[in-house]
Amino acid sequence: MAEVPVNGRVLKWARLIRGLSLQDAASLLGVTTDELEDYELRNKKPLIGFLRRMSDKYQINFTSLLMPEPLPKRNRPADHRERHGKRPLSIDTLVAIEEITEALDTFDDIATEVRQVVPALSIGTARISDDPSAIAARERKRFGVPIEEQHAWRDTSEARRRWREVIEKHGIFTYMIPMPITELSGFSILRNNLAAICVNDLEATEGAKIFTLFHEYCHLLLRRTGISDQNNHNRVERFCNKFAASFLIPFHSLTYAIGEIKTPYEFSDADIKRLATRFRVSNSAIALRLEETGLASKGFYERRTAPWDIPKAPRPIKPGQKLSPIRTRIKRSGRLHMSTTLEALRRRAINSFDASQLIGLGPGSFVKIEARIG
Amino acid sequence: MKRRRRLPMFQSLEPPVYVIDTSAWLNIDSRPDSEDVWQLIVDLINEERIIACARVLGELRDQPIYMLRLKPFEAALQSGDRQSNDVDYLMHVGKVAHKHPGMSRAVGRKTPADPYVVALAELENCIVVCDESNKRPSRKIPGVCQMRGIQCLTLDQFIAKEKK
Repeated sequence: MAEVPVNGRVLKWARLIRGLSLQDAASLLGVTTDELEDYELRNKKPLIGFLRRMSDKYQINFTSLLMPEPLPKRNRPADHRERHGKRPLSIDTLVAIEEITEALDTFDDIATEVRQVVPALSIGTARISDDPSAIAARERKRFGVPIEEQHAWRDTSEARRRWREVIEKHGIFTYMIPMPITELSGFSILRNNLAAICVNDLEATEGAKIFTLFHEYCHLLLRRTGISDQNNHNRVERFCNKFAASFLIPFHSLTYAIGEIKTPYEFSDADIKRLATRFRVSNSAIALRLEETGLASKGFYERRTAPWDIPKAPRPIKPGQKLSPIRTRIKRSGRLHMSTTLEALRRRAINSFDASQLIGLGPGSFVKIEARIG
Repeated sequence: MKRRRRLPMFQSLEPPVYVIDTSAWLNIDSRPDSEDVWQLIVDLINEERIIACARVLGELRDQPIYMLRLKPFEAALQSGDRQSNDVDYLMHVGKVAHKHPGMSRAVGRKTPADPYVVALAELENCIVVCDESNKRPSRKIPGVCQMRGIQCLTLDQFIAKEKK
């Protein structure tokens, strides 16, 4: 196999844009750090096979490794995190950001080709100086989901699906992608009048995922998108936390559900669980909301040393049973992403290859996806 | 097989060779005259005047057109392609990707065929046949071909030219 006279600086650039240290990258590639450094310093020319492996492991376009010079650094989404000491983003997170950026770029291409295939974004605005509870009440009214409907949803899984649908009706693409849980809860992107929310699918509970959906929705309202961990130190994060809690657990409905009490009240675990089930949110969201509204005493949320929510173990897969790739893809990329892609294909704004790239499955699955998303 | 690069002043003496992109291949079957077009394409393949680079065939492999139409001609279509270990070709593809990162999705996860098509057409002095629009030129083959002085035809234009 032939040696390729690549620019070592390009190999280093590719590694760095995927957030890989020299050690991590060498381990992924199955070489020593010295050997990888030799390639990056141009002391040694890699073979084509090695570059293909690098493209595969770094999850980066093979062609980019052959470029004569690195590309200028692209701006990453703003980083609002503080909870885990702003640990560097891992390759899984960076690739998820890339996946959604690519999708938005393609939807932007489609929007320039044909009208009315890509849904128009319809969201309000908010300022950091606003009262998050008032903004939440306004948005709740715009969404038109009565509290009785929310109470009637079967469980938090159904609530997550319904809330996602409601958000997507406003032209926001929603994604659920597994990313390291110690890194972030989710992120949002707003560009060229296209918006996307990505929820970390490894979050402990469905309730936590619902909270993240609305936390990220608030980032879009503020036009301050980026990467979140829902900490209470960062001003934007705190605002978005308050918004999500007020949106999902409106104060009047909460006091109605609690009944007559003398505040601040020392709520038991059973009380918390009952309220969380009623509002289809996580225990921690209820606990935080009770403290924040003064219904529970100051420090109520922090006093508990055990976790508020214990994640349910995933349902075991029966022998011979296979996870449906169609359901998996719809959950990952969202119904709006799927329906926009299929509509663009029908209107010939893209071809079936582009559609399979966006959907992540071959053209043979398109009819089934269409049937599933309705 | 490597074709000798023709000098522009002698271009008109030889019949043109076409590099067909994924978008054009996929649009053939939706045409009312698709059978005639396929016949024309088969004739041109037999005359070694159509190339589909390996990356394009890779993109088409999951599409119905591949098994129905292209598989029998795979070897013939690729006879004019550069080999996947042709270092000069690969480095040229890298240059195209660097100059046109939008079209090449240079920081993306996947490796699209577009810069391979452009680089092959440039090195072999071929005409690109592509059915992409030119509305965002820096992200699409026709715009990039225009910037690089490579002739690029739509499927309609290609058919009209060859039916003359």
